[in-house]
Amino acid sequence: MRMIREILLTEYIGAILIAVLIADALSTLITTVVAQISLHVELRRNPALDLHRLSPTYSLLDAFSRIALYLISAYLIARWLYPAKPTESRTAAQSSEGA
Amino acid sequence: MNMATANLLVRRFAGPVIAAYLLHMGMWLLLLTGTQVVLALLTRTVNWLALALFHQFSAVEQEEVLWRPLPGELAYTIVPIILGLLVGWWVWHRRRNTQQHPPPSIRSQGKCPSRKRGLSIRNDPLQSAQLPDGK
Repeated sequence: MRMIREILLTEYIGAILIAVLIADALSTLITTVVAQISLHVELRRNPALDLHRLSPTYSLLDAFSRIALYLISAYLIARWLYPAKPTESRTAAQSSEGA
Repeated sequence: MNMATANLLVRRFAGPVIAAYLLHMGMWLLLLTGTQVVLALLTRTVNWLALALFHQFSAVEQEEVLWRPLPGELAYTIVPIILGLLVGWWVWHRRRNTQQHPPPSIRSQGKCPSRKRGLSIRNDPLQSAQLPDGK
């Protein structure tokens, strides 16, 4: 696992992956909002329109679960690759540099 | 951005981008499978709440999880992830070898010409940085 982490870290692969997952979440959000708006506009223009479509609740739940999974996975990868708390060895190295 | 810089960027990041693309493909397939399960759980919960609170049947379409093909779908996700890791390992290994044994053209010049632009593959700020665990 340490080697995988080193590869993902030093080659920016992990950073690219996190960015793409966040972009996926944003893209899903924008797509869902635009689809719902266009559907409401279309239904207002033509109320008799019979669209064989899923309910808005289902679409929102689908989008919500996808966005949540994208963001959770991006967060977990980011926390694994870039831990917020510096480790003891790094702190010791920094303190020795300062002294 | 001139052609040399673009060429350097492509040479530097083509491998990592391909590896990240493959890893993302695997992650995307994995999350797609996970979404089915989460969505089934959510629709079940919403329907149960609608029935319990408002006595309303089928508030939302019920998503069903097909458990039998799920292991097969999960197995499909492993292939691009492993491929992505292999490409990443290859890029990492090649760069490490290049750093340890620079090509003769760079050695004869004494310094990498692209280093002036701050984009040298041998002057990567993350390459010299230690991992956070200090190993």
